[in-house]
Amino acid sequence: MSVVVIGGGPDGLAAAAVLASAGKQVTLLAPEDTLGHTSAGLEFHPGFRHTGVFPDADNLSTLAASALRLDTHGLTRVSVHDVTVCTPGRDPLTLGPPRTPALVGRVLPFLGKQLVAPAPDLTDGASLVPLIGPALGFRRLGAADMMELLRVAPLSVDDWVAEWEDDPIVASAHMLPALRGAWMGPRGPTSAGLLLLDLARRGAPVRGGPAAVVAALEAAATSAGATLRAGAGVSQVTLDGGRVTGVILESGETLAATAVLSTVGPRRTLMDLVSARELPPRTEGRIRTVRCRGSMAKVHLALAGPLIPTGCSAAPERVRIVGPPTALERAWDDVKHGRLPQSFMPLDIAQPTVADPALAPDGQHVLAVTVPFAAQDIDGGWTEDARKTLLDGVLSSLESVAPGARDLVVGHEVLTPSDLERTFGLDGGHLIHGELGLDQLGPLRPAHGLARHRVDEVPGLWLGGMGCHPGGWTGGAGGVLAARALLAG
Amino acid sequence: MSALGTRSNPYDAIVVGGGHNGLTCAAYLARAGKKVLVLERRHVLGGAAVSEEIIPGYTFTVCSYVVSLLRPHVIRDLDLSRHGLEIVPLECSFTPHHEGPGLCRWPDPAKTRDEIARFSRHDADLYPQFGKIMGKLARFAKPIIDEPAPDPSSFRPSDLKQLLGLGKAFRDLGDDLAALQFKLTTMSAVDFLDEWFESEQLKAPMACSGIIGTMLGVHSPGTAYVLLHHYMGEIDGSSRAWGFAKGGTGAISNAIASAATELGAELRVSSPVSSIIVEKGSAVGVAMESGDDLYARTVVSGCEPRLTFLGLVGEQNLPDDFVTAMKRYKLRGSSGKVNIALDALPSFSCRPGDGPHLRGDVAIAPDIDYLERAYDDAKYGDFSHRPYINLVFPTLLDRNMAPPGHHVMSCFVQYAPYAIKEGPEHWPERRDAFGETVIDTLEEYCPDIRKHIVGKQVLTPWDLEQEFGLTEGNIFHGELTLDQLLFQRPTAGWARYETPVDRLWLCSSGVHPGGGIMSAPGYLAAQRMLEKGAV
Repeated sequence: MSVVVIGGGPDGLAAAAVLASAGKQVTLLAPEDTLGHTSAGLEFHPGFRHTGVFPDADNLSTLAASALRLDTHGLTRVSVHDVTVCTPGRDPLTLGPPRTPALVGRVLPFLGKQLVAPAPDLTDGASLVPLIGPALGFRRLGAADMMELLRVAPLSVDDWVAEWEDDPIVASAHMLPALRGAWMGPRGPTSAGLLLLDLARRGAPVRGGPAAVVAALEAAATSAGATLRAGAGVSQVTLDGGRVTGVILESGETLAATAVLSTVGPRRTLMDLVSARELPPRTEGRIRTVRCRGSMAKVHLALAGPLIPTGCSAAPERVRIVGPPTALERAWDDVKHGRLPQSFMPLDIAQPTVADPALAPDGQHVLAVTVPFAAQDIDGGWTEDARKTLLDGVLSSLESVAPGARDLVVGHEVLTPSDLERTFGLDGGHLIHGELGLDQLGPLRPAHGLARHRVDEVPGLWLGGMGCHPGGWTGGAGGVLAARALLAG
Repeated sequence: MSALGTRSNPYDAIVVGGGHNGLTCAAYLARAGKKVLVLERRHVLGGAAVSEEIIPGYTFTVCSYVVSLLRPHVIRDLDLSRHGLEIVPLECSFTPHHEGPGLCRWPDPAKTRDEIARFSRHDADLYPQFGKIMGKLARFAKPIIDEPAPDPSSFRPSDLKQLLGLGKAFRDLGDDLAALQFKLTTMSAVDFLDEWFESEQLKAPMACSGIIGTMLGVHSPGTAYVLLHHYMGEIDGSSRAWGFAKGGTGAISNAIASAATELGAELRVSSPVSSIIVEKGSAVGVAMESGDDLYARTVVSGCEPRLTFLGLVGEQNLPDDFVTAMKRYKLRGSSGKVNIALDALPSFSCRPGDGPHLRGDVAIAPDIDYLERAYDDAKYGDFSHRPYINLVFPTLLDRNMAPPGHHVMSCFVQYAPYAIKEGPEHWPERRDAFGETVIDTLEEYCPDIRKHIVGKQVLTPWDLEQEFGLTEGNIFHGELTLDQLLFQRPTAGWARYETPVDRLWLCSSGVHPGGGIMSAPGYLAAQRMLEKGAV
């Protein structure tokens, strides 16, 4: 059995490794010249490298790490990243673990389990047996915790975090991760549920960030015998009588395969690579409505010296610049209305050169800035002027907590959601192939009927990646689960 | 024997609050032969379902103004038609626009189709199919409002049976509909409608039903499910989901009150209760503001839960975690009401003159962005600069509510957040500005309205709280959000009308199934009390 895996990101690599380990003949095709997709560490300015456009590797799936024994392939972890929280006019502080109620500690293991297991199958004719486990696990939480989980999950982070954190700046810093990739601000109901999932996903950070995950996965896949081809973009998945027969590459080359496992985003796979025309209407209807509105931008800065916010004694590796929750909400309003950031821009920042000086020339630094609120579809489009305004907003935010930061900048790369869409083929410029929301998770990720990674109406086609269960920032898990489903099916 | 209401001769039940749910509960208890007393603080029964002649000659349906889900079995059991209840269907849902003739949705599908087709043929084609599917989902959801909330934490056989029944009904929907039902509870109204429709002009007025009475926007997750309510009403047999009670919603309260009286309940107005008397963890009666104490075997509160517990019962009589839960209970009133007396019908420039398009509800909701901007203003503590307004002309449905040729106009206005940035107690200073904003907004669609205004009543959320006991001005006695619905209304463990205080029960919109003129909480509470032998 020969399998083509489409996509060279962590999920594609993980899938290839799992399949090759099981003795399949696997060819992985990555469109970019470097493996790793958005997780690839690249030079963005002469002499300056980032560790991946993907923001961080704190959520590398424990499933992928353990299934592929990534520790034997060079993956190491650091204990915890200290996050320095900055806000204009106040001394920075180190963000401690969230002071969540005891409940959270009790429900996280339950939630974590759901993130490494196949999604419940709710399709017609599905057996109810696989549902019994999660249902019992849920009940085993006990009446009080179960009810409390049902209360908290639909809340907004603004409401929930206020229950256990009095300091609005600290509250904002805790909220920010939950809002990444969700199309909502802190007052969006259900964002508390997303924060719980984020906490359940969070593991020890990987040394070297996403690029290091890619290196370990690449080693795992290669040693298992998978063929990994970069610079090999797929233009079409070929069908015969509705069944997958292989792929056609952008170069015109054809490759026959008994199965194709795509990790490039479920909507793109089904609508573009298979072609919406060939898709049975039921599947087409399900995938067409998947919401992928990109709401994050990434800015990489080459700095002549370290960024040291006022009040810090040394250069921090992680910085969050936030205002109170209302400021986050205002920043979200800009996304919602499709306009350029108009007010104070909250930022989530990594300074990877603190841990790994080799990423930049001697004494110089790299700043990888995630802009959590930047619309894909702004009025007037992402023109050169608009991109300048975005960069300027980022520099102003930096300047507000680290005066002089602007003068340190010797080079930059601005990746708006529309750049991400163009460069990486991400639907809507959405870094994780589909918004996080309770209606696009579990059995509904990417859409009802597709959560078990198989496409019933297109035999031989399998979907993996972050657009699938368990979704979101769980690098590698989507690929592992898809590969396992393929092997079982 | 001493008079009823003394320690030695207590009532079977005292209902605090003569709103429509309190009255419904009292009527059912009286029907079961119980000695019941209803105490209403105001001079008139009905709570927020009340009609009053605020300006001589003009009867306003002061707060609530339309009715959809008044339970048919309540109408039947209490014989409300004989007691004067007459509900006329709204004939149209009209959304005026600055350009073009606006959008009317009629009971006649063909006419509606033509109207929608002006904006999108695709939407016109899908609209009936959307209605059919929503009807199916509503059919699944509807039994939930006629039964006590299911309890997922219980292992009692009767509760498990109810859960299994729901689970089975869910599976019987078929997997596609079941998935849709789930999405409906977690998605935003706009996202949900986006899966179907493309025209803003159609989606905006549809999305409004998701935000009414809540401090959320049309883009906020969780607002889609209220769309279902629109379709539930249709199942109850009327051709349109929404209706208007002749005489205003006060006529509904009056009919229930009349039925309750006939069944033997005693109803007292101008009788404010200052506290619920709790002795050894058990409610034994109420202390009146007049200084009198009245005793009953059971006390039922028709007031909003936070007011009931933190106001009338007192924290000292409650477990700590329950007090915390009540403090967290989200009220966050977001709407006001403006009632206007007119010497003639105003004319909408997009559809001038009188006509059937005015014999229904009119929604000022031209597009999605308009609604979301209205919410933005409210988020940061101001009333909407251009609000969403839902209005009816009661006089077109009941000629007796104003002098001949004259009219009343009932405007529900959102957003008017209780928590304005100056502080809610400063609402009285902003009341006039709020009223003017509403008139200014209406004037954009009816340029002649100002000259026809004879008088008006402006109710801010502060007024709704002070005058009608609606805490924080929330018209539903608590936000209708997922975390405060079903088995969590008002809080987990206390969704079956009982409370941590022995012999104290709840029957208001703050318990399952929640707000609106349904009479369901009142009915279900009475049933539960009778079943449990609590009265």
